[in-house]
Amino acid sequence: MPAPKQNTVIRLPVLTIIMVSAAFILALLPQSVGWLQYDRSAILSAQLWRLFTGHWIHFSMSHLLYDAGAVGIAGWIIEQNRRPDFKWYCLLAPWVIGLACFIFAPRMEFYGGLSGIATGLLVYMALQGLRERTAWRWICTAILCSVPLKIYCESTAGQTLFASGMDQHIAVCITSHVAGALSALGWVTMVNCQKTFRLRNVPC
Amino acid sequence: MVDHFYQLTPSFPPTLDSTQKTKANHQDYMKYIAQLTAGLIMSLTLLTTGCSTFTDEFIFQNNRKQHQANNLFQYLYPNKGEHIDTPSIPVLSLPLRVGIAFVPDCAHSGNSQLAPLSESKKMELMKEVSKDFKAMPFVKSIELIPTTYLAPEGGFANLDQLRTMYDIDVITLISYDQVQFTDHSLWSVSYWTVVGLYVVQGERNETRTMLDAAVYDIASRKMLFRGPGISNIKASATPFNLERELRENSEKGFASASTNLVTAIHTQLDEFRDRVRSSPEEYKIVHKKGYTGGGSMGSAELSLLACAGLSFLCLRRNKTL
Repeated sequence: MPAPKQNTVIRLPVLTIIMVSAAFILALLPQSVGWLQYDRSAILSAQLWRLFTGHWIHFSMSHLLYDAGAVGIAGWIIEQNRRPDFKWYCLLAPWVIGLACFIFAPRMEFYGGLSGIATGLLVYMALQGLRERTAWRWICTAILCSVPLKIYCESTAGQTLFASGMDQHIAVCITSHVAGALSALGWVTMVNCQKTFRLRNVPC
Repeated sequence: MVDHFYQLTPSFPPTLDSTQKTKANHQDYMKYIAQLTAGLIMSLTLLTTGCSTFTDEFIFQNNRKQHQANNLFQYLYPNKGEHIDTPSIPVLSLPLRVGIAFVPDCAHSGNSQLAPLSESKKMELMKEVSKDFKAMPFVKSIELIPTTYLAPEGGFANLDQLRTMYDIDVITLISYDQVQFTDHSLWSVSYWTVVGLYVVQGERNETRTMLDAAVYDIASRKMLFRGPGISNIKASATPFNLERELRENSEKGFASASTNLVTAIHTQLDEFRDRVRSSPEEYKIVHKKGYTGGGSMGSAELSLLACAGLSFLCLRRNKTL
């Protein structure tokens, strides 16, 4: 009996499970908010870990479910394709997004949510999918086109204004989405360049 | 002549036999007639005087009308429209700080004999309206401003003072207009029996109330939206409890109109949110320093992503990926 094709095997998305479950665990520990939330004043007083951990703090259950859902789906698809560089991206992206918010959104005091990382994962997934030679390629092209469109709509159509399902006023942080998308674009470009460079340097 | 009179009224008491007609009897009879006439005149006088009071009070006092109101236009533009503010594009700095106040009563606010809307009642109504605003996440705080802080015909200069005093961005100005009509119904005929005055509800009254809330961005002088609350109460009463009934109906009118006002504001607020989204050129949105940022993943994005995930799974199962 022939062995099943490698691509058809469903792999356990370990990194995605860790990221999503961490968000749910922190939601059950409200005291963690004080120590882990992105708080500009606290970051300025050298609590730099908040740039990373702030993404795992959410402001409401719907906020958590939507963000975790997006990260879960995108992360699962990426992990099915066994990308060895994915774990490094997962480590780097929260820092990049947090730092971008800190530099480019100085009026924002607090931030929370995995949406920046989710945007990054979407772009990562779509860029990887462009290399496929199947219908998946077109789906990834559509996703890749929709990300900047979504960010543009958020910045112009006032969607940020009245975010629903929140107890308090939460402005949509476009900076984090842009940073997430650009970080994925930069990372995939860098990895691909590295691969190309290696291939060129392989002696025939 | 007397004989002729007797012939005309043969049965009229006291019956006098024509055979017993003497001079003395004739004098007694004339005395009786004089007394009877005097009695009749007195009764008639009393009755007419009573009727006059009675009819004045209860029967002929038709179409009574009471009116109490304040005027938003007169408050904002006291110079009868001579001065026109040019509204600019409102810059809404989120989260918003909202003030709620009743437009102050002007000097010629109405001809009501009833007491005007009391301050405590105004506060209750403002609290009702504020509940809807409080539910909105983009509203940071709500200030209920007593009417005494608003100068009659104060205009936008007064609103600017309130803006500084209460640190508010937008203000909801509530104005009211209440008219009460009283008419007699057909049952008022029973008032002639006197008992009817106490038991028959022949006084039909109608109370028409309108509360109007207009939300202004103080800085840009622009009205963001408005919502009306209308109520119409019809009732009837006896003449003796008419005043009490009118007072109760006035209060009921305001309560009912405020309920409708809250519903209208809720609808208007939703429409306003849609308008801000669809016409970003009309409203500029900024965030106050120290705002909280978050994600914007919604059901639409998640659904599309789920579809992409399913497509990926199907393609993978079909070994095409």
